Amino acid sequence: MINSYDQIQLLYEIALNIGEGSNMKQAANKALSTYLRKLNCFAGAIYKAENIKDKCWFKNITSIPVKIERNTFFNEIISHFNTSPNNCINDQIQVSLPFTKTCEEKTTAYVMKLADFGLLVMLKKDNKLPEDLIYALQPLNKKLGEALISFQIKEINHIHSQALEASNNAILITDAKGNIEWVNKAWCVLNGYENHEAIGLYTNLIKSESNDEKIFKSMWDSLSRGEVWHGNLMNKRKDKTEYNAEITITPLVEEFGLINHYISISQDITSRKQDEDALLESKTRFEEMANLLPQPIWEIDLEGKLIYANKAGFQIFGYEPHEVASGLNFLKVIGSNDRHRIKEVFQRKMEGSKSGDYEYNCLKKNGETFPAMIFSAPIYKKGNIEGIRGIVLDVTTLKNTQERLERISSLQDILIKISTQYINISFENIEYAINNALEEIGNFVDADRAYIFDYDFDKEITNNTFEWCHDGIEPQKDLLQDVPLSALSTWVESHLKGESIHIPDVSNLPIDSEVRAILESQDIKSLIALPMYNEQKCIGFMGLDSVRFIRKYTQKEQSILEVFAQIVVNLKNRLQAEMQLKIAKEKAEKAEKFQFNFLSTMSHEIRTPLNAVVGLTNILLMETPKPEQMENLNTLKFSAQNLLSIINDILDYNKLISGNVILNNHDFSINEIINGMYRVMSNLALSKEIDLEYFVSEDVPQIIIGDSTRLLQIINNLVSNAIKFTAKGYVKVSISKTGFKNGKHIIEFKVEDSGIGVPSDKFTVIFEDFKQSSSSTTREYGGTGLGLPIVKKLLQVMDSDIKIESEVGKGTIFSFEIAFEDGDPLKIKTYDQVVKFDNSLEGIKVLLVEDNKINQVVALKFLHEWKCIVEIANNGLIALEMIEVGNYDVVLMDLQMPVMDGYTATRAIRENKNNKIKNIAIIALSASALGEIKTKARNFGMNDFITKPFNPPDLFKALIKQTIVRKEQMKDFKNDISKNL
Amino acid sequence: MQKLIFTDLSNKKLIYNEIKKFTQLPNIKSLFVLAGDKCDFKPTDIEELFPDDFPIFGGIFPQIIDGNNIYTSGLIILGLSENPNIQITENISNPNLDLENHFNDDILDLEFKTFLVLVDGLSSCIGKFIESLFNVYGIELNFIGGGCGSIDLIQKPCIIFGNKLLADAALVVALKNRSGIGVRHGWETLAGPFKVNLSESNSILRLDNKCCWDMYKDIIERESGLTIDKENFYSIANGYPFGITTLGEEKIIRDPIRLNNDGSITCIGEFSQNSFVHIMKGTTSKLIEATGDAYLEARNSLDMVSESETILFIDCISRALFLKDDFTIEIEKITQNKIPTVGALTLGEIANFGQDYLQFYNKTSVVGIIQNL
Repeated sequence: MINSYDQIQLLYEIALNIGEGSNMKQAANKALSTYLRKLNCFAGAIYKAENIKDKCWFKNITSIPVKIERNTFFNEIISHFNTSPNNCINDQIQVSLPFTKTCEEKTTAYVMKLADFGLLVMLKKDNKLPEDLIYALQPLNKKLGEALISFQIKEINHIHSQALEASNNAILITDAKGNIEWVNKAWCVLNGYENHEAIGLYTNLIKSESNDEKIFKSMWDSLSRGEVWHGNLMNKRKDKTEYNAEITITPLVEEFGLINHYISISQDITSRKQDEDALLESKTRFEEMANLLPQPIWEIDLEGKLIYANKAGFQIFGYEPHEVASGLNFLKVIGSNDRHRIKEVFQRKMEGSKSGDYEYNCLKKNGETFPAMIFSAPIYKKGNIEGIRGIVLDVTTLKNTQERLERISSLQDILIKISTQYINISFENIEYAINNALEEIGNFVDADRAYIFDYDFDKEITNNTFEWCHDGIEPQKDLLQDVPLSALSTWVESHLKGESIHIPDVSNLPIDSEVRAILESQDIKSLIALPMYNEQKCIGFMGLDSVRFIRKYTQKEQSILEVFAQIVVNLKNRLQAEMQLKIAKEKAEKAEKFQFNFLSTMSHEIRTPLNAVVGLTNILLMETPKPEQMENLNTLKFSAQNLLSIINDILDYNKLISGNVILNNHDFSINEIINGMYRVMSNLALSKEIDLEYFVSEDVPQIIIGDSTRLLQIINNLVSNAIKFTAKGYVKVSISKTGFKNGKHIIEFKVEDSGIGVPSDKFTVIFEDFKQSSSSTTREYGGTGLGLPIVKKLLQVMDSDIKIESEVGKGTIFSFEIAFEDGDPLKIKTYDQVVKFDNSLEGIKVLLVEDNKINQVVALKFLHEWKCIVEIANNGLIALEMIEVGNYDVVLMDLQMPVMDGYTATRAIRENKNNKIKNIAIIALSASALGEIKTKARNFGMNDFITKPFNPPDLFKALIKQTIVRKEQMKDFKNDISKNL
Repeated sequence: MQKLIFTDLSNKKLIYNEIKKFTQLPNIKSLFVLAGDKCDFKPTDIEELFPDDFPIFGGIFPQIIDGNNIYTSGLIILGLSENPNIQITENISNPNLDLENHFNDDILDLEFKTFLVLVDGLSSCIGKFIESLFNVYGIELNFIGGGCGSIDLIQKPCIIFGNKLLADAALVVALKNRSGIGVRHGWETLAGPFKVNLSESNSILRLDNKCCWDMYKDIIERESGLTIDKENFYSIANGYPFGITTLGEEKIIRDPIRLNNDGSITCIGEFSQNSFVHIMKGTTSKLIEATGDAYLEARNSLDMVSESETILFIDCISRALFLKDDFTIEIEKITQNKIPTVGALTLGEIANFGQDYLQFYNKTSVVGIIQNL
């Protein structure tokens, strides 16, 4: 039930809540909340009337709930009012207030006026507000509106006050008499007073005596008329310092025209004034400096008219300042050929595009031109291009200097070219090079003749040795031979002092001058003659003649020509040196040949008797000697073989140091190599009761490409060396793969022993020629000391090197790595490593061509043992006769024999018309082990080569190969031919 | 509506397993838990009882209702067929909390129709919380809920969120189910109005420029002939609450629960300074009649009757204390309508039916008929 008592209470409660809150929005929200609670409304909003000029709209201040617009009925109601600043109309409200409307859902909307503030909107369900209550609410609504307006004014005042307080300008408010009522923080800071110190005082407080009183009079005249005064004054701070202030004073006029307040807004412009003064000073400084500059500085507008130029700007072009000031077009100072080009450059710069700075031909007012670089950049004002400014740099001097420098630089280039070109020139071309160099230098300096004279102080003459002449210029070389030095005595004198002779103009020489007569006879107009020195000795001079015109050489040019003369001296020196070298080389080659022949001869001469010793020892051993003889014979055989080994080493080493070793690479099996080593070395090891072991790692490729003979030689050398220096224990050979690089397997070979070891300070020495680690070693173990040097040199040929690790008393490890390509198993040569003397050679008819009786006996012994039929020829000639009739299967041919040597005999056989004779197998027997001999024998048509003293298995194998195997091959070949036919 | 009821809470593992099984039913998307205060649940108990991977919300109330049965201990667990939007607010007693920005107003566009609101009934600033809630979600939505907590009026964790138990917190649970809400109390004016000259949150210090206690005692003793003092304060004051006037509706009741040494009286719910209050009196018949009216009001606010309806009955614990044995009759006023009824006796009630201003009530029956829960 509603009763008036309750209503009064509600109204009272609402009234008590009006004006609660700290700001307008909060007060509106709190009041709205109380309205809604007390009147049992479920939603509401307060709007504030906003005026724009004469039009009005309603701005939402608060809503409960916040999203009240979700209620469609509320939206319908509010649409009666203008709630958008874009739709404001003249009439504030289109309906009369209070406005009430009820919708179908029994919700009633109430819109009430809140005095001049705005509107209150409330929504209530079911039970409507009683009419009398709505009217009773009006005074409360008015009170609420006024309270909200009051809040609004307070807030505006607060904002204004804050704005004034926060202003950077010093603000002061006085009453009509000029007494200070309010000052802001900036005023206090500027003048040095606290707020409370200034309030109540007269404005004279900050007045400075340095102001002209007339200013104050003018100020008060304006203010008394109610006008705003603006001007500058000197003010005084609390600390008595003064500052320049820019001040605006506004009188506040009441309704009846009376002034009740003044507002003064001021700012300290001392700094600004200083800046302005500084700017002026800076501008003056710029003007003065610009006028001091020798280069023109200028500015043009967008049309190309000069708007500024410094003093040089009009002086250099010959214009008067007034002509520049009257808008001279910049193009007038550019040569006509370059105008289009510079116009395009300026156009691009004015469009803000990038463009370079170039050289132009500039034009003076009097028509003269000069080259100049013009540097320019756009003039920007507030982001827009308003013209171009730049600088003109006269490059006349620069260009002249540049040309000179370029000429000198070119001259230097030619010298460098000549120097580098001729540095590697062949001996045969040196003379040509000197002539060519004279031509180049002559052409470059535009001379007509370039030449060289050699001084011969012994004979007191000079000769023209080289000469180049320009086309059409008569050569003088032939006429200028054996010229007496006395004819050029002054020249010679100068040259000996290191001075050049420079005659820029021959016609300036004295009429009776001998030199003038000589020169004029050759039509020479100018001349320069530069001394040539070799090891501080003057050896001649280089000269340049000018016939067609006068030529003057600068000091710089002279200096460079002196360098050229020195280059020519060097060329001449080289010519001489090369000639000496050639002679020396020929001598050396002769000596080397002599050494080779000597070694070859020595080899033969030593081997021949050795052949006899070894061969006969072998025979004696085969003939079952007595036990005491056996021991002696074995010693004899060992000694002979050792001597043979020493000879072989010396020969091999000789080849290595003379660079005559060529690797014979082929496919081979590493296992065969290591087996071969074992077969050869195992007996030696066994004899010393040393364990010889070898190991080949699984990843080592079976077949590789290399020089197996040399590899075996290296391994054998190392192993024999190891056995030699090991008294007990072991020698181990291991082969492993350590890598794969550039398509090749890196194989490491290691020979380890438990021998005496090598002191670390001897690691290098043992690889030197004929050296062992100590002289006692040589005494104890023997040998030439060439084993390891041969190994080292062979490895160097194979692009490898030997490494050593050793500890004295414990043993040594020699190792090396060699890169091998994969080999092809099908290409492996197989050898019968074990030769078994069987009856294979039975009935083979052999011609033994040998002059030495002992050798004949030795050979016969074995050949008969193998059941060969043997006939003997004492020299090549006899052999040729015997072959014609003998029907031999094979010839054993000694190479060095009296009457006819083996080579000649072989050549004759190979030239025989009888095919059978011509193709007979010939095996060379030679005491010489030199590779060159082997090659020579092969070149003469011999099929095989056995060195003496021969190793019986080698001879047996060679005979098998050249008889039985050869016959089978021929047979197969014939079969193949007949099949194909 | 599907529900689980546990009165024996001794085997928590068993209960956990049952609840776990319940959450795995196909049409159970969330759980609404009503717990009796006598359970004396600690946060660890809640962690043991409820899974942590399922949407669960609820509270601990002085008593809970299932049909005609009222429990001081035990659990009533309602399985909801929808996954509601649940917002938790902690530290609601903090007066500086910016609640209007805290609530997510995006959900206004998601067709939610009914908001369940559970607050720690012994927190201060409940009024501000409810006002902010209304400010954000106020239009065209139904709100129903109440204050959780203990009858001994000592604040302790009482809000269930997931498997956590929180104090000084509030839950706002938005449901898409339609509902009708009825709010009635039946208290009548005894004396007043009196001006609240001085109040501090939930306490009145001065009434009509006099000490509140002096004024209150004088009126109660004069009007009822009873003698009231500090010892019997609540047993008598329970029948004489304060009423705040609103236009055309029942007064909003504030339940005086404590007499303070400074002569102020503390109620459940805030007072505005400069507002007017009456002192109210109640009779069993009027109060029970009002509960019946609340049901009718709820029913009338719904456009149609649904085959699947649940009554959520939020009644004030102090009404039960006032009505004593007759409280069963008040319950029957609801259950006689043959609609499954669950509910709680609360420390203050929260409701807004249709388009009313959302209020925090005391000593009031709030009936919510929720369809298709």
